[in-house]
Amino acid sequence: MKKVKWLCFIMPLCLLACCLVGCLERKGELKNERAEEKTKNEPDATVILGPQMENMDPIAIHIDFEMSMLFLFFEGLMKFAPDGKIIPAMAETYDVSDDGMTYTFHLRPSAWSDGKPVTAFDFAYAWQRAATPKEAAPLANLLDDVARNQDGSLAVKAVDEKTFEVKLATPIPYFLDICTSSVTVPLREDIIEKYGNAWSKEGSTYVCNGPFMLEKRTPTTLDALKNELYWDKDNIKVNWLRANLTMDDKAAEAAFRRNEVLISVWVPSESLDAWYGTPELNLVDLMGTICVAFNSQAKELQNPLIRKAITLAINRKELVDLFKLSQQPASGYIGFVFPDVTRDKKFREVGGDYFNPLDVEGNLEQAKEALVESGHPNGKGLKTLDLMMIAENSSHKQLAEKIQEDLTKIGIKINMVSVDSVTSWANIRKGNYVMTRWGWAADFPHALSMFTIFHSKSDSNPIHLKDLKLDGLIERARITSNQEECMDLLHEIEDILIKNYYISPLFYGKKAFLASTKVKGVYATPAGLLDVTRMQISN
Amino acid sequence: MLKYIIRRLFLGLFTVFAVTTITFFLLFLVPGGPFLAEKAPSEEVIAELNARYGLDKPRVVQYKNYMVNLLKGDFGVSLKRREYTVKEIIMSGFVVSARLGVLAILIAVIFGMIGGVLAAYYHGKFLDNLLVLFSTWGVAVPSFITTIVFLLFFCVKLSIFPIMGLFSPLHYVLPVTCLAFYPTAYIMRLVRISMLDVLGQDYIRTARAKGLSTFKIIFKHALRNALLPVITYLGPTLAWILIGNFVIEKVFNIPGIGMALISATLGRDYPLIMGITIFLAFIIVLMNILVDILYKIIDPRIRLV
Repeated sequence: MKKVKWLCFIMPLCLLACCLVGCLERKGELKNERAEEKTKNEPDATVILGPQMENMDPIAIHIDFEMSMLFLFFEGLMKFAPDGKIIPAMAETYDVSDDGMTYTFHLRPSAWSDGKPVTAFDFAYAWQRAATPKEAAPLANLLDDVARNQDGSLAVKAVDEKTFEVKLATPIPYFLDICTSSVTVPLREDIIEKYGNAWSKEGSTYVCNGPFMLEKRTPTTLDALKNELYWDKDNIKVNWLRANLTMDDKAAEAAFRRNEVLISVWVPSESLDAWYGTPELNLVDLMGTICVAFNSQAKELQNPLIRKAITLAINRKELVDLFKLSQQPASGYIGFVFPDVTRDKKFREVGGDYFNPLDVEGNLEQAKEALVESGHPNGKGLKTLDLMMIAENSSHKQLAEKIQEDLTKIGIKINMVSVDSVTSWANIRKGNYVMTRWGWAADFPHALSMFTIFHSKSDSNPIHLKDLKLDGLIERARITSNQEECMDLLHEIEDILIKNYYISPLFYGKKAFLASTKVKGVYATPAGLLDVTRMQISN
Repeated sequence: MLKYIIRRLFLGLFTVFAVTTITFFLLFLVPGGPFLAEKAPSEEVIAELNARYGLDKPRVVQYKNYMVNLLKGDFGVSLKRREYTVKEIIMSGFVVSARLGVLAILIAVIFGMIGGVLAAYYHGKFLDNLLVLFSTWGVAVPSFITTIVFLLFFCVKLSIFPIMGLFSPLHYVLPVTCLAFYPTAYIMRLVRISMLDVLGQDYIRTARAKGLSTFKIIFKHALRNALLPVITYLGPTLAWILIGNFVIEKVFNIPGIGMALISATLGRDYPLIMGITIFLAFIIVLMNILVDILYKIIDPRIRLV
């Protein structure tokens, strides 16, 4: 019995000791790091810009949230100003050759966070690295329009320390937009050679050229300190910025309500109503469209009249009321943010409306007529149709339920197939669905970026249509140097997609974020990335 | 005894091996892959990545490679967070989850036992009813509801505690409370029931008749016999709590191992899923063995076979 008592005491004590040791050790660790830099131990500002950063290496990044955090630490040749215009960043000026095929960037004097100057060689290295197939950069396709040398490398070169020259294969009008993207930021060859993949793991080796430098990284936080060597440091007002990395929208909103964070990119869809009209809620037009995509290989949907009936029966007006986010019901595939030939005219205005989303009654009548014409009056003889959506996102379920309700009115039965996001992407690739909720966002503000996905060779084609005419139009639009011709082709492609009801555009995406009224200078780029680097906090 | 322990350890190792094998092959049934995304890279890029991580080889070959590396103690690298090895992710997550878990278990054992003893002692009285109400609630309401209610009430309404992260002692209060909530309620119920049983037995009446103080009777004579079910419960619970609670870690933004497991599963990060599953299996098996040994120590009547 003696032994028993001993053990009963020792075991909990061991546990307690483990716990204490763990806590103490941790505290010491924190102290050492903090002692070096600031006297205070609270960041100047805490923000929520998105979920966990899987990678910090600029070429491994492809999600918009990750990009907006990356731009705390890196800056490319060009960037977006608050008004959406493209302004020089690391480049001070640039020249374009008369044929629009050669861009020469003149870099401004600036330094890396370790003191070395930023040179054109850093850009040349980074661009070549991003285009190397072995690196498997998800956004490498953005560099497809850059000309290639004979050995397959990009036709980019550092003319001297401060001059960077790019030769294009086609004179694309949106090349400067591409120069704002995360695959085009400069990188340090010596650092990456020395540390390999682990170079971006910790602040000590994460040499960067942006407004902030990485101080500490955990799976749930990024601590960024102002980079005193940044060229525009006088406009960086926050000395210590913490990004909380979370994917829980309710907790993020709660933290925002109690001023624990100044900015939250998460707004739960059910509380949008409560925020609507307050100065904290910011809505940004995105370069993207939410649609229902029909699998053209699905037996159930071979008759275009059925697709027409589905498209017209969906009440976009009520859908938009459901999601305060998206006040613009779609009347075509391309949204109002996209320019036409020049930036003063909008693609949608030129293309016109394919249907009037506000004429709900009229559309419903047309939908019913289409069903009668197809030989299925009131949905008679039609099988139940599967509609795929992503389970993790509660707004997808709301959307699918609304569509189900609308389609019941014309007698079409919908079966909701709820899968996790990776499964849904895999199903779209394999063509393993009938209808799916599908959204697409452009990489740059040019309508072409919305259409290339419909090429029959595209890996994630949402309609799986094998149409030589459509493929030909897309290929011609890609390579033409004439903007008017390009836009004509794109309008023709949109005609094919909508008039044959291959996709049913629902609404043009908007992004909501919450920003405290104390904060000034935070804005979203046309691609929906939050730029918080010029943030100012008033009391 | 020694023979028994050795035998149990071998059986445990076999269990972990079986879990490893089954999980490995089950993973291939899950649709999608680690490199898919809303804007997925092209097929060539995916093929390149598959080749880099050996995912293009036949399953049996992959399994053989994995097991060989595992025997060398190499869990591989994460496919998503490619700067990190699986071991680094597990260890950094486990340190955080275990710290919360140990605190929560201590609280659960202390409050659960005190509550259970009090409820049994004041059987049928007001305090008993109150504690039964609490423990029923704690066991019946799932943790994600408790967590959200606590968050809304203490953080948003009253604004006492911070929500995100573990930066100060104050940050620990709510996650630990939420984590301890269910085990506290459960232990309270267990202790109350078994104490009621024990307190009605003859030897307690004898002790009373001997004139021992109530305190001594309860803590020296009754409680020890009432502890057996608690220990049974504590083994697996400790394992589960150490390994992290996804809901609580997600809501309070705590970089624990539960969060790592869920993001690994949703992202199809095969080596990370495997690593965490093996780790989880190992801890559960170990805790079960410990509990069985402890049984023998506490109640010598039990024969270990």
